[in-house]
Amino acid sequence: MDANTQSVSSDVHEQLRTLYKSVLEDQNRFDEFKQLLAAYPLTSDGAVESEAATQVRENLNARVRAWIGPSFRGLSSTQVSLWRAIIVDERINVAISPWKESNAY
Amino acid sequence: MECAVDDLWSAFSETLPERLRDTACTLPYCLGLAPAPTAHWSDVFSHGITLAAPAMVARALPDVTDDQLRKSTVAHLLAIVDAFGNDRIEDGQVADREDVRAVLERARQQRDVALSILGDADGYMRSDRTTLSAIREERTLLARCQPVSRKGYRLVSLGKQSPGFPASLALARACGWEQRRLRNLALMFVGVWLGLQCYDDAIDWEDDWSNGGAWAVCLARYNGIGVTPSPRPATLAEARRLVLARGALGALVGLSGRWFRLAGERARMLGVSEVAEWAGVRAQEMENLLELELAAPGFVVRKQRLAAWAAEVVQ
Repeated sequence: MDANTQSVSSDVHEQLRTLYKSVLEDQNRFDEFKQLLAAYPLTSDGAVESEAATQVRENLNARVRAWIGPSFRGLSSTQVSLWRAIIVDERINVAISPWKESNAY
Repeated sequence: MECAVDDLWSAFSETLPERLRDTACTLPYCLGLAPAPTAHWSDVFSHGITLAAPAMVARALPDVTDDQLRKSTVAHLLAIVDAFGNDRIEDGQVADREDVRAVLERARQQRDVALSILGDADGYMRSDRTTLSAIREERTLLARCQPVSRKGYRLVSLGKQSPGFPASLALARACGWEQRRLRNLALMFVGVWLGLQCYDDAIDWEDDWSNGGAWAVCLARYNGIGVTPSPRPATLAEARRLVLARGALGALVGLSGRWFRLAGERARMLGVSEVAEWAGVRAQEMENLLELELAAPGFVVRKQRLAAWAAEVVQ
């Protein structure tokens, strides 16, 4: 069980790293990923994902599989919400501009 | 030095009328530079040199006294805070509050006193004029999306950096440096401040565009003297296509790297070893980043946008 769990964990992590590199290295892919995330309806904490949201997430995962391969396990609703906050809403950004400090709070 | 900067700001806050002290203590938050009112100035800036430049120069000045070091650090700290504060208010990034303006006015007064004690009574008056002129010109150019050459960009950007010079130069002069070393010190800071500014203008260009104009677009439109510039983009998507097609972000990152190299060379020449090391690292980072930007235009912005994700998956 431990070997299988480790194998699955590293695959998932590796898949996320591959997805990250995929959108980092291609503007069109980044733009499309951002659009797909923006289409995901915001839900309140603890709420069950709606049917519409599930459909959007499945569309997103299908596109990601087209980019990085059919074995991609897919982003969960929590992960989609998190990446939406990071990439669409820009609510979480650990890298502050070094000089102008133009981030607004 | 991070701790000293915060201590100096606390000491400044204590000199203010009681009604302004809370504003002063929470100024990074009031200016939208920090997410919480408890943040200190040392929390705000990614690079220590932004607020502590004189202290780094002081390590190459064996005869510097504690009082000279304190005066120059106070002058520089207050000048930088004043510059950032006024820029954010004038840009409309934060509300124009009477108490914030009053704190910044007091900062300017004490900045001038500290610099005067170091032997330069007019340094910040001159830099204020230069900065104001540069900011006005920048706003005009960006609002018009004026095509701008790299030289034009450099001249305006350098004007905005004026507050970053007087305190360190006054300190070195007070410790006996002659004109040749002072010129090299000034060049070192040209490299430092422009290196930082160029990189900032690259990674923030889309936000700048949304706020009225971006250097990356102005640079991208420029096709040479007497040559018809590229059409002015109407939307962010059009602007992005132009900026990426013209390699404007690579140009800014490349400029940043060259400025950091200049800073490092001058710092080594002068024995300002901490700056030499820091600038060398920054130059190499920019050179590495340039390769990636040239291979995949827009890389520097995507990297910035994905930074939180990278923290999770890139180990």
